[in-house]
Amino acid sequence: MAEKASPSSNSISLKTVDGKIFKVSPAIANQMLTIQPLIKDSDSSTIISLPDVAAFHLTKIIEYLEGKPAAAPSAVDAFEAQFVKDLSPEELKGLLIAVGYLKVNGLVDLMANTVAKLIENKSVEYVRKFFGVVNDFTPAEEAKCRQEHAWAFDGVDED
Amino acid sequence: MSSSLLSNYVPEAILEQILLHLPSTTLIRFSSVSKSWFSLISSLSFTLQRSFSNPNPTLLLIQPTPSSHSTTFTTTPPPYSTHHPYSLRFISSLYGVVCFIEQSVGHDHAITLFNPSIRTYLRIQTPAVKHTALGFGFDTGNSDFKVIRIFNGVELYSLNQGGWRGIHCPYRKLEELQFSNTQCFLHGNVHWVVSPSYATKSYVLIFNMVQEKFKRMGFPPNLVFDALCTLQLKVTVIQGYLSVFDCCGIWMMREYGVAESWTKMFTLNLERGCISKVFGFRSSAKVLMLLHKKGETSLRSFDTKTQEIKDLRIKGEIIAACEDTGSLVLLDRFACSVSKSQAKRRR
Repeated sequence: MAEKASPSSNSISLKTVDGKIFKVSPAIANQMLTIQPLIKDSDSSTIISLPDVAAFHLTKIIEYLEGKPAAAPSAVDAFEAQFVKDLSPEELKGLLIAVGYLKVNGLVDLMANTVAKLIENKSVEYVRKFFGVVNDFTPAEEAKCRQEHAWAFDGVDED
Repeated sequence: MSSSLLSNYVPEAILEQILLHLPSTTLIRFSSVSKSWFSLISSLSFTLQRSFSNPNPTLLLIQPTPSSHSTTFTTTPPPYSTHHPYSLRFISSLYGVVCFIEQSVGHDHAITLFNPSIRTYLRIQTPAVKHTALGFGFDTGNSDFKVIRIFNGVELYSLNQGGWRGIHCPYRKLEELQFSNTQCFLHGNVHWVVSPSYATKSYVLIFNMVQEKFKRMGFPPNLVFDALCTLQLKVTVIQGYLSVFDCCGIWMMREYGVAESWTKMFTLNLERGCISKVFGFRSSAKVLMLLHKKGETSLRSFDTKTQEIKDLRIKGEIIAACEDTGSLVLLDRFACSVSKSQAKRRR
């Protein structure tokens, strides 16, 4: 492999599933743990394809990695709250899957926490629909389950 | 539209991370989402991960007549009520599961495993005998809760297998030993302090829950507990150390398995009271004691950091105290687990 003058000057090209190419610095790309091994062997002509990641997701991920304040936990909290504020449940889920696939430093936990807050007071039906989970209990088993723990089914949100 | 190319599937590892952020009530509700959600939520590894992410659990007291809650503890009744002459005696608690035995005059009856966080229990049918000793522990190799009972034989109950079976014991006549009336579980082993009747030196008898084998662990030559006093000794775990209460102080094994490391760490001024039970916790610097004094029983805490004894002023009988870890272990003992319909009774 050809020698590189200064690796930090090389930008990494990432191609999303919807065909957009993003050029990011190695410092940013290295925080996506899944593609770390690919970065080492790449030069400026290499394009790394990312399944499970759309342009919208990668834009958000780069926004997070570039914008996250380095110090003060309170500043990080404010930044993270702002970052997830306007995402719809569907966008949250898509971003969660993309972030989980790329194993983005710090963002996996933020997304997991945000989705947890979203579903905390939701019904079982909402959760099945949200995650696309098929109910494989028989009606009798499910009824029994609800009866045993009836108190856990009180006060869930309408939607 | 490009979104159709995207995966719509949230991998289990990510799902687990989401669920770790949720409170017990939500998790119990979501255990009926699907069978795979159910197994994930009720698994022990999930419970353990949750308890590690909660370094300061509140205290949970099990009382026949629950007293009013406070900021430091909550109270809950036992899984079912017993009527005279039956009573529930605490054996020990582990990972949010409390083990009791039902007793009546001169006899022991069923052993019960109870998860107070989700009020689920399993009543294990046990022949009515007088036990010499009992122990409750966990087999990390098989992720299995086990109960050991010593009478004129030795038997082990495995929660996974759902039954009792005999265990070979290399020592003759265990039932003739004097056993401490408490035991504790640490590093895979159940511990009792025992002494052969009259005048010989006491030692720690351990039973390993993975290997299912007994072993002895001696005390250093300078530490001699009177044989008659053995019954009064209390064995517990304080901040990860094997600890023994005698009538006036606490001894701790500073380095596990090293007899010479037994050290008298604290002297307790009990004002002529006598300790009937101790409750130690996985990580807490505090230990609770039931203290009998002048015909009255009170719950006291001893803080190993400040060495202060405090009366918690809790009214009524206390069957057990444990940390409220929000454990969901035993959730699968309910009917909705479908596969396992072992001996169980509902409230």
